[in-house]
Amino acid sequence: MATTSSTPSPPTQTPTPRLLAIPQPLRRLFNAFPLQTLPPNALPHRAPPSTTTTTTTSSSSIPRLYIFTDNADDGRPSYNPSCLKAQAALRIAGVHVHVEPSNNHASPSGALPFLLTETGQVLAGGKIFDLARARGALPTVKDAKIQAYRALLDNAVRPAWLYALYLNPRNATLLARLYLPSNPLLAVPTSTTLTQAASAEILKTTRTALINPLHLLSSYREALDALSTLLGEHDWFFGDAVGLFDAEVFAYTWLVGSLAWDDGAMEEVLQEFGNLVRHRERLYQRCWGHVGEKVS
Amino acid sequence: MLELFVWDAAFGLPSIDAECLATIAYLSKTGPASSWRLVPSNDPSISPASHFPALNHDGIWTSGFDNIISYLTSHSLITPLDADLTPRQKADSKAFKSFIATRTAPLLDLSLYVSAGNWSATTRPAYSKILHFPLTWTLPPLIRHEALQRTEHLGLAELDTDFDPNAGLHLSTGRESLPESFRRHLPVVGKKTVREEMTPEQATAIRLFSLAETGLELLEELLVENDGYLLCPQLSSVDCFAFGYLALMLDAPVPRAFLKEWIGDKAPRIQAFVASMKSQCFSIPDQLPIPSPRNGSFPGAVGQMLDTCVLNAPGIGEHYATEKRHRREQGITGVDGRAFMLAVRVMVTGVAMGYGFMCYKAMPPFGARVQTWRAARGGTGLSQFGDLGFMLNSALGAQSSPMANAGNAPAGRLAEMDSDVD
Repeated sequence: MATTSSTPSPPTQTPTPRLLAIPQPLRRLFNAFPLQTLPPNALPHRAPPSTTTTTTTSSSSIPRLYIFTDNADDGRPSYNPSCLKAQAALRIAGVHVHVEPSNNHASPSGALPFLLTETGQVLAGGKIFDLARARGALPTVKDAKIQAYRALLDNAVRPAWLYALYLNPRNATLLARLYLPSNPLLAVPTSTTLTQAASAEILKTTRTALINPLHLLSSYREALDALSTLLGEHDWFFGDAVGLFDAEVFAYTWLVGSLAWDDGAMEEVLQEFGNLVRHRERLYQRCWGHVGEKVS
Repeated sequence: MLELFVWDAAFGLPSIDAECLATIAYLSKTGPASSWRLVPSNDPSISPASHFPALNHDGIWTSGFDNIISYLTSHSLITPLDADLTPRQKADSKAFKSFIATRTAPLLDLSLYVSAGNWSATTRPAYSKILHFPLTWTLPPLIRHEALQRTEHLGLAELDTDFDPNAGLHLSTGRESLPESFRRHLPVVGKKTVREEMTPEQATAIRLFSLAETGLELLEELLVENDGYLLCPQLSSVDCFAFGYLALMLDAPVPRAFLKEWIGDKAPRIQAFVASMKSQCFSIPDQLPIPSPRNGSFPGAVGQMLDTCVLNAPGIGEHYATEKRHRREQGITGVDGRAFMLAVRVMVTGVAMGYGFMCYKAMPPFGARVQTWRAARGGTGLSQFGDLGFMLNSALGAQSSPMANAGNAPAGRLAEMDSDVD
C-alpha cells in the first residue's frame, strides 16, 4: 500500500489495518465504480495511424512529411521556402513521402518541416536530408564553395524574401491568406508577432540598424547575379546531377514566381536572369512534372 | 573630402568594430592618406543609417562596407581592388563575403561579447577607454545585447554566465597551508565535479570547436589555394573584409581564447594572412590618416546619454527602439500623427496611473480594522469609562429609568448604548 510509507508510525503496523481500513459499506460503494467502461474514442481521421503497433498498414509504410501546404494529398509545392526545400530534396532523391498539411504548433521542434518515419521517429532540419541521402539518390557535393553559396542564400536572398512577405505592406493580403487565421481577433496579434520576428531576423542577418528595402533588393539582385554566374549554362549547380543546393535555390525562385504577389519586385529581378528561370522550370518538371496523377 | 566615421581604436587596431576595420584596411590600400579623413566616433546616429562605418562625402552619407566600396567605385574616388576580376570571381567574392558575415562573424560575437569572461576582462574595458564618462555605463550593454541576439540561434547562451569556478576566494583556498588543528575546524568542502571545475567555454568546447571549424576552415582552405589570399593571388575586397574579423579574433587579448587556440592549432595560414595584411595596411607610415576625433557638442552628448538610458530601461527600451527605428526608416523628423498618438497614449496612461496611485494612497490600509469614533450624545457620564463604566451605568440606569421614561426617549437611549458597545 502506498499510504503506509507516508504514515509517520511504521512500528505500529499491527493496528494500522484496523485504523486505515475502509469501512465495508464504502468499500462496496467504491467497488461498484466504474459503472461502465466505454470504448476509446476514435482518433480524428487526419491523425497519423498508430506507429507503435507493428502491423504496417499501407498508409504508414511510407514516411510522413509535415509541411505548410494548402492541399493535402496532391503533393503540390509548399508555400514556405524551408518546407519546399525539404519537399523538393525528397522528390529529387526519389524518396516517397506522404505530405501532411500542418503548422508550427504541431512540430516537436516548433518549426516545420518535420518528418515522421515509419518507425515513429521524428526527423527535423538536416536529418531529413540525411534520410534522403540514405534512402535515395541525393549526391554529396565535395566542393567547399557550396558553403559560401549557401551563406549567400541566407545572407542576401532570405532577408529580401522576409521583407517582401512579412513587412511589405503591399503584400499584406498574401501574408493574410497564407499564414494568418481568419478570425480578426487572432489575426491582428499574429500579424504583429510575425512582423516583429521578421524584422528582428532581417536586422540580425544584415547586421545593420535599420531596414532599407532598396538595399535588401539590390543585395538580392547581386546574389542572383552571383548564382546565375555560378550556374552558367549548366543544367544544375555543382556538378552534373541535381542536388540539395538546387532544391535550396528552387525553394526561393519557385515561390518568388508562383505566389500571388501584389508587389512582384522579386520576380521582376529574377526575370533578368534567364538561366535561373530555366533552372526553376527544369527542376519543377523533374519533380512535379507528373502532377495530376497520384504522386504520394 | 572623404570622412570615414568609425568606432574608435582598441587592441592596437584602428577600430574595435570588424566592419570598420575592414573598411579602413580597404581605403588604406586604395587611396593616399591625404584623400580621406578617419573620424573615430561613438554615435552612429550621426549617419542616416545609424551604422558605422559611415562615409561622409560632402554631405552624402553611405554606410556599410559594400555600400561604401560601391559608392567610391561608382564615383571614381578610388582605384578599386576588384576591377580586374572575372565574373566568376566576382560571384565568388559576393558569396565569400556572405559566408564571412553569416558564419565567421558570429564567432567573433561569441568570443568578444557573449562570453562573459572575455566581455568583462577585455571588451568592456576597451569600450570604457574609447567612450566618455556617462556612455561607458549605458552604451556597451546595448552593443553587447545586439551581439547576444545575433548569436541566439547558435544556442550557446551558457557562455553568458559570470561564474568562474577557479577564481576568487573560496573556503578551500589555501587550506593546505593551515595547521592541522585549524583545518579540522573548517567546514569540509565537498569535492567539485569535473563539470563544476570548468569554465563555460571549456564545458561547451566541442560545440565551439565545431562552430570554429564551420566558420574558419573554408577560409584556411582558400588561403592555401590562392597563395595567401582568399579569392585570387592578389589583394581583393574579400581579403579586407575577412581581415576585419580575423584580426580582431587574433589581436584581442581575451582570457578565454578559444578562437585564438583553434587558429593556432589548425589554421597557420590565417595567422600568416592577418600578419601580412596588418603590415600591408597599417604599418607603413603615413598610410593611414591621423585620426581626428569629432568633438561632439554638449547637448548632443547629453541627448545620447538620455537616449541610451531609455534604451536600457527594461520594457520601455524595446518599444522605444522600435519606434526610433521606424522613424529613421521612414525619415520622419517632426511630430506626425503616429508620434502624436503615441504621446497622447503615454500621457493618458500616465494620468490614469497617477490617478490610480492617488486613489490607492487614499484608501485605508489593507487588513486594518475600521474604527469609527462617535461623540457620545447626552449619555450618562459613566458609560464613557469602558466596560466597567458601562456596567455601572446600566446598573444605575435601571434605577433612573423612571426618570428617563418621563423624557420619553427609551429607544433612543438603547440605540446609543448599542453604538457604544460597538
